Amino acid sequence: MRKRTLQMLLILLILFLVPQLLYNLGFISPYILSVLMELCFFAVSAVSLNLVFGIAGQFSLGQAAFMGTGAYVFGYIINRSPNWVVFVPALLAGGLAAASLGYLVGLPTLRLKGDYLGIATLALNQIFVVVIQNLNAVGGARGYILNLGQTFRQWWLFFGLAVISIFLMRNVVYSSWGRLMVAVREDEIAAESVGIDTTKAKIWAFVIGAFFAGIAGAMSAVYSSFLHPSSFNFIQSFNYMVMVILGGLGSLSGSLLGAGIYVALLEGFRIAKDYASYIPILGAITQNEYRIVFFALALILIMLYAPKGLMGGREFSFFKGKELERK
Amino acid sequence: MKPVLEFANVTVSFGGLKAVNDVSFTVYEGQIFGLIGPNGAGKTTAFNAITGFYKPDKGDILFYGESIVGKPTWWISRKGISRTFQNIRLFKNLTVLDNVRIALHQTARYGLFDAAARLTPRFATREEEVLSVSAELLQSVGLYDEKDKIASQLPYGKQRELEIARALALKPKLLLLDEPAAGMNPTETRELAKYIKEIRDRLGITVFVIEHHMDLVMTICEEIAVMDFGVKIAQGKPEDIKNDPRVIAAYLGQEVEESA
Repeated sequence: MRKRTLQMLLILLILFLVPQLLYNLGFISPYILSVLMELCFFAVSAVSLNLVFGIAGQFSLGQAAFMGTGAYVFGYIINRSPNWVVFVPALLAGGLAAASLGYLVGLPTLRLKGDYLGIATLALNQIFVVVIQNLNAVGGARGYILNLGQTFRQWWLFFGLAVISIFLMRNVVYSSWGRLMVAVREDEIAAESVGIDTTKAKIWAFVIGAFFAGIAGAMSAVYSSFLHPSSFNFIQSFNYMVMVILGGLGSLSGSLLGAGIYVALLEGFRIAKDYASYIPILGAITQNEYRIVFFALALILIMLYAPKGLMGGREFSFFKGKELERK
Repeated sequence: MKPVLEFANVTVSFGGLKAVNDVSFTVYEGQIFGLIGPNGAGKTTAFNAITGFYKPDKGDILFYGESIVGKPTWWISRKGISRTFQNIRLFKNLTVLDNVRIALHQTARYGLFDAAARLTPRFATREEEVLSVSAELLQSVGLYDEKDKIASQLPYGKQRELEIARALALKPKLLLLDEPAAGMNPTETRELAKYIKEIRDRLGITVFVIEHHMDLVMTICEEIAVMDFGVKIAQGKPEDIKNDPRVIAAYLGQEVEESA
């Protein structure tokens, strides 16, 4: 098990160093590095949504609202004085604000089941967008500019935050806490009858998921240095849902994969467009709008051939906790 | 003998139908108590009232002298009453081990930070304990070798035993079994009877069983209550119940002239 930890650290080190070195040596453009940074917070958000939907079985379409809360709270604080001393507290404040919202929203809505919960969280997302649009302190509908410059926009920061967040979530999922959530997902009546307070388990799942969604939101704020209400509308929530379902419900590594494929497809088509423009008809087809069409087509194909998601609820073995894997 | 469960003048109704109508009985410590009756007599409703799924309209249910009416199901289950279901309710898509392990949440008590950061040894030691307790439980029902199988892939009889093992993981004082022999063949039923007796004798758990199989009830129960159409019609030792004309009538029907 010592050996495994070392192996894991080594893999992470390589994953961190390779893009950084390639960038420093000029092999990859800042654009590619940006895409990788984006992938980092997409992954955190997808995993946190999977914790809520895949593990605890609570259909939430409010992911973007939690991310937005994290992003705006983080942004508001860091804008007072953009330096490293404020960074960590601001980040945690963003996460905690999102978690509090998760708690407040979860308390009344988690009594709802399935589709109804989905609608309620969708409504939450709409309310969030409207509130932000009318909140002058953070720029309202004009958007909110963060004066961050390039200080925080570092690959190591994005990579590190993603690794820590996902590690923590994995640990929760593969512990008794996660087991209770899975029990609630599988059969609420059976869960109650073995002494599980199902309402509490659901709320915890919601709160933990929202916390990390808030962290992901704060990362996105660092990424773009500009916050706009429309970046956190329900369409974004659907995007995260797509990543989770693509990777497979209940599989955390699946969500990583889902986020990866999502980014690869969207950005891949963008690159493909550049080349396709040399070919007469194809050039026209691959214009921006069509990029989305092909993306959707690819999703449909994946869903047809892997309806349970790419991982199908399984997990890469390195992703499971050693205590729980040994059995 | 101490009373474990007192069911006092309980009425549960659904609209106009009184599924359980003013029923009273007491289960004493160390007993194997049987509740029998034809289909639709209200037996399962009585169980659901005890475990908090239904709230009685009238009457009181006491567990070791404390009223448990209106308490949530999980609270009652933590208090020491665990149950199995008539139509097995396992976590079907999870492994055999996980089914038991989920129920051991009180053994696996550690904080969120212990679970997430794992900086203290608490997580590892508690999980270690959970594993050894679940191994013990699974061995007692002979399911240890199948611990990594998905629960729904087990044969029917094994699923029932797993459900009992899961209920026992909660360290109950009172075990409610809802038709544990349903769908079992005679051999399996005999084994089950032996197992239920063992639970009582070895673990000292009071057992309250609803059953259709007369042989099972007659061999294991010390005290039997009989329900029909929501009303308790008889209570006593197995031999008395066997010969009680009201019970025979409820099960086999009466002659038309007699009832008219």
